[in-house]
Amino acid sequence: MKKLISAILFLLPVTAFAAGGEVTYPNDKVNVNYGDKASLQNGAKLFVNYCQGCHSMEYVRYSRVAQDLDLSEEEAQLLILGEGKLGDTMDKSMDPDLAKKWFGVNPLDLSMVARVRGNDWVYNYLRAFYIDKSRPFDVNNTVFPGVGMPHILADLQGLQMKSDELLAVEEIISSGKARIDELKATVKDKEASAGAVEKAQEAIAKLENEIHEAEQEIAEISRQGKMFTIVEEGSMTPEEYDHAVRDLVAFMAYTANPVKLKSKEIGLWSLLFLLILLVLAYFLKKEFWKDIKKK
Amino acid sequence: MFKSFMTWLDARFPATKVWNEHLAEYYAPKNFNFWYFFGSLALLVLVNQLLTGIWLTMFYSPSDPFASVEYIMRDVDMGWIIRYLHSTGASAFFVVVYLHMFRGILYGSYKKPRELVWIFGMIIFVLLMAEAFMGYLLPWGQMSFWGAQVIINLFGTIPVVGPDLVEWIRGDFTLSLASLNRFFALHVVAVPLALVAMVFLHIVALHKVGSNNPDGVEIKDKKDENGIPLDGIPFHPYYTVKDIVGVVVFLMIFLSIVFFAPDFGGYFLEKPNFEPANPLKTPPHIAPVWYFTPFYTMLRAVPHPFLGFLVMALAIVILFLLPWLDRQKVKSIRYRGRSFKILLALFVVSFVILGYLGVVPVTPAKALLGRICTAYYFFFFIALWFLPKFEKTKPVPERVTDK
Repeated sequence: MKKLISAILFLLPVTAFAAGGEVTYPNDKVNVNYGDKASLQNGAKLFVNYCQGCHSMEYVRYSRVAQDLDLSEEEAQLLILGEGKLGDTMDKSMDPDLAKKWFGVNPLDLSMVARVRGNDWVYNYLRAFYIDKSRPFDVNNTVFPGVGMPHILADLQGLQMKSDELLAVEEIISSGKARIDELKATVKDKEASAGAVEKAQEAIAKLENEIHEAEQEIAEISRQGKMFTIVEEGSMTPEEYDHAVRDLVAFMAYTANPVKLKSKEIGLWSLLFLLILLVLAYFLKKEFWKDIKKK
Repeated sequence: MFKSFMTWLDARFPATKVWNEHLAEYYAPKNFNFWYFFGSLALLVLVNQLLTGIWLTMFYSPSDPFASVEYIMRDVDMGWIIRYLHSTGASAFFVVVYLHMFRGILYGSYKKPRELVWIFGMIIFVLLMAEAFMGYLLPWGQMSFWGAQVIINLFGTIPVVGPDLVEWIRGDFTLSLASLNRFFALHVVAVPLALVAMVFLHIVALHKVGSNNPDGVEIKDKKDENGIPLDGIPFHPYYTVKDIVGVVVFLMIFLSIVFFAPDFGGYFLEKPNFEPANPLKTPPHIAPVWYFTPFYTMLRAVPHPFLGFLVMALAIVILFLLPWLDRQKVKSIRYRGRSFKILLALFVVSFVILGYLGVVPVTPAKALLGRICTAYYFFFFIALWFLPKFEKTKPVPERVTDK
């Protein structure tokens, strides 16, 4: 029956689905305060200094940022690298064609990335670079494996490696998966005896269980903040770095939805107005309907 | 002054006549309950969509769709409010219309002599689906693009003519700005025009036969010496003042969503839609907007693509036939048998499950559940046909009751 269903599903048009939103680690929550102007200003500074070389925010204007973040005109001018006017959008300095040559892709526009990926994802991503000499920029990322971006904030964070604990658990998972593949070949082998097949199936179930436990262990390691060990110190302590990334995420969350605070304010006032209107409307209705009840 | 003006006007245009026939002397049953708010609310949402739509059209540009939506959201004064009113309005429209239709089933409002009211209403529903689908393409985000891709390709499953038909709909060999441009024309001119015309007919037909009510009693059967139904009250002022209360409560909920959670957790505005359409990058999970998901699950429940498409279409067509499928003379659920109540309760449950299944990725267990619910959806309508043979109804009162 199961086979039938999966065969049927396979035949469905255009609608092949992958399981969306697989969990990656670290999986921490970031606490972004949209009202904290100092945090947003610091985030804007970090963005301009570290990100904007390659990434644009093509829908965001400097003037709007200045207005929303309480920056004076002089302060706002400091955000503009090179030639640019206050009313311009936050374009990147890099030429898109060159970017494609250097990185293989034109770096993504970041105006709304926090809304597409979520604040937590960006926060975890920026803290999850680790040394991996096999990659073009010598770093890889546990949140976005195989990412083509260098660890641009390495000055601040320093460089980190996967911790021994994490490596040990990952080893269990990868060797387990390899062993399962071998066993599956046995199961499919038509010449294998019934006993051997059964044994293989039992072993697969056991390994799958072990892998599942190992994955939970990674979650635990992540929760304890023990995924990485710093091997080269940056200019910030881990706590300072987390704060800096939080500010950067706050700024990106703001650019993704610049009206969030304003929207809440207008929302509250309109609800208050409607509440008063509701009382009036209710008594108006009651007054009119008095004569109906009498009938 | 005003009186002489009205005399002048009435001699040339039936102003007073229309006012009286449809409001001041339109007698509605006096026992309307909560469920009767949704008709006027649907009208309210329609007006909201038309007005906000006009203002959006002033700034939207189909040749640079994604950027122009961001321009509305960021650079146009109050543009974000207008856009969120419109996007939330689309979902609100379906909430209100689904509840309005459910009211019809609860109290048998589509039964004789109101079959045509129901048919006009169903045409509005179909137009609304077309309108919503084409509107969702306009922001040209990832989900706009891929959602439209999936839905347009459905027509490609039709044997023989399918592929040509799809090309004809798109106006291009792939889904492109050429397709978007024609969808824009249909979305802002053609379909709204048809919608407004159908809403007009829906109301004219309703006012000809008079409103049903929670007791399913014909109030026109019992009239006083002046020919006024004993259980009828003038729509204006009684129901206008009552509907204002409903409107205010509705607006409180509606504006809470607009101002505090316009994406509604990704159900009203899907997250990938904040990324510009990219024909080379398929999102890992394509889900239609929530109001289409029950029908989408029915499509997926059938293994064969074209048959799936037919089942989905049939699910809508069968709703048109409801006035003739439901043969029970007793209209209101209040006096219908337990068998009907159980049948309807399960129908609601299965419809909600179908909706849920349409937003989540398929697993074998969920596919099976989708099939069961699809089967039940159709079983419900067939069962309605046979129900009068077994159903134990209660006696229907002669006049409407208080609660």
